[in-house]
Amino acid sequence: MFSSYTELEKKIDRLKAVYFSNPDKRIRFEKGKILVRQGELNKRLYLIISGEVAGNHFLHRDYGSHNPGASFEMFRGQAGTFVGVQSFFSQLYQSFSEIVAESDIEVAYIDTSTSAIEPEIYGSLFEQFVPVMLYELALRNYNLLEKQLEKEAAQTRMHRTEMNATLGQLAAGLAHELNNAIGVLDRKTNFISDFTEDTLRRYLPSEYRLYHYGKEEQPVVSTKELRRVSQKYEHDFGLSGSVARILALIAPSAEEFEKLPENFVKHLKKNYRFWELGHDIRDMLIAAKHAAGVVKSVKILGGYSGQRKSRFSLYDSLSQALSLLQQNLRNVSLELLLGKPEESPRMVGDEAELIQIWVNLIKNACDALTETPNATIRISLHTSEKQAEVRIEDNGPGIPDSLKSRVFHPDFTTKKEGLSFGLGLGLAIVQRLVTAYEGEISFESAPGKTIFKVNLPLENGE
Amino acid sequence: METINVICVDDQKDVLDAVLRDLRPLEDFFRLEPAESAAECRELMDEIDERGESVGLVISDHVMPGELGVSLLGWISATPRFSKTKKILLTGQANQADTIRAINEAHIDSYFEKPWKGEELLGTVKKLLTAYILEKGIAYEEFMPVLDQAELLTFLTRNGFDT
Repeated sequence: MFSSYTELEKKIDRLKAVYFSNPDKRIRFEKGKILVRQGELNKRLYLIISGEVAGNHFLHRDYGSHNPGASFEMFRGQAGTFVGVQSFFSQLYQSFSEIVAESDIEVAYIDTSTSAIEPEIYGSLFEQFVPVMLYELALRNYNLLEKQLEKEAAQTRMHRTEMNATLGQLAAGLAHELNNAIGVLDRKTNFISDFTEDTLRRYLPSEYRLYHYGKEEQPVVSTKELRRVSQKYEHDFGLSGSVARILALIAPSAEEFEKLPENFVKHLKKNYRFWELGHDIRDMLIAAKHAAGVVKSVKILGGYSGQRKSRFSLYDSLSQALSLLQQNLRNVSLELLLGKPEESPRMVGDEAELIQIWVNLIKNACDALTETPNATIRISLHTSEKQAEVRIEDNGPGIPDSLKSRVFHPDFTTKKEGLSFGLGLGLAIVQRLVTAYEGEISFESAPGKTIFKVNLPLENGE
Repeated sequence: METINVICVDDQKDVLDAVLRDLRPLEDFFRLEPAESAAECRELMDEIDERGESVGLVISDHVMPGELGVSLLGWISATPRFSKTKKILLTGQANQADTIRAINEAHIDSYFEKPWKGEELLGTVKKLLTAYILEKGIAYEEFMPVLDQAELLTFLTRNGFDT
């Protein structure tokens, strides 16, 4: 810490040369030997010539976490350091700590019988050694300060870990409670759906048709186009806005309209509530599934894992993820380099978790591309003997350098302003899952090219 | 009857659908229009304006991809053509700063949290549309069945029953 050769050091060097070169006052200690015990009489001031010592202080009092008798290190000394400064110059001649040879050492010493050399120039022995005292005390203070700071940093780290763990437990508990409620909603909606379907089919076949239209997946048409068609129907058939919109969803084009049976419009006008019933049940089922998915994510983050193991192909997990994301991928051109399905590497684990990894990464890529012309996502699968690598690349604006270090943090999100628990979970979960499979996730990002790479180890002996 | 449009903006189709359904009782009197983004809403408002119709009310979600709801409502309030248009923020995710901005800069008329109660939303919408019709001096008699009676009464008492 004191780097330049100062006046202080010059003075100390004189003391070392003048007082510690007497060959009669030199001792060797083997490694592990104790030079002096704590509380013992010590009338010597040592200078270490070679080797290393440690000064340990033993506690007498109970400090709660430390038992009486526990020791902690006060200082370490190498060649050139003085030992016993405090006891010698405080004139208590009682050691404050136990000094142990950490290696074979050689020390030189002076004792209470030593008299001052050239006192007429340099003053009394005590006066001559003031620089040593100051230097040693400053050094020791500095060491203690460093230790204290280290301890505080460790405490902060521990506190944060504990907080995260508590949050995780809280989230897992909440997820469990919600899961039951969502389970009930999901099951009961299914019962209602089945009953409605059966009853309508049996007793009201033509209304059943409308119900079925509503429950089916809707055609992918832009709202703008839908509005245009819907306004046309409204005008042509004198329909209300909402009935016209339903008609536009059932028949978004003239060709589709041609296919409808006779008197369909009249029938719809009277019975459009059946279409809505089907549509409502569909929305409820989707919402329940979505809620269940969110709950599962939170559970995984909270450390819960209800793993069901099976052997599955990576190709399949990727294509399942893609089919879940059809809506998001509407405006994106997709390049797939996944190889042949039958040659795909296989993994053992919970396929749902792998699908979740891909869904999160691909969805992030989609979200990054909303403003990008010629939006493209390229997904490739590379296999070697021991591992598989999946790369998901997009040509979006990239992750700003300032955010790169935080993307895997649980509360990180770019998808809304302010702090919130929910949408920001994506990459934290992905990382957790990948790590659980002993894999690695990394990314490179620059404007126009962002690649997320997931490496997964493959089991030997396929 | 003058065509007054009511626009609902939400990026989630099922939510949009539910809001429109709650407003169904108004359908014979107002034109209900869904929009899936702030950009689509702006475009739609321009079209409506060009057709010579008016926008009585915009109900918008806040957190949407692209432009945020508060920013959309701020634009509406700063655009002279739509200065009388009423604005409702319907959201589950706005933080305090967003909310303050919604009131101070976007001058919203009402704030609803998700999940909302259908009847309450409908009641507020009726009240705001009644105010809109009266402020714009539109012939209110034709809208009678869906107007907020208290709002109407206050107006008539203040302005005389023969206006």
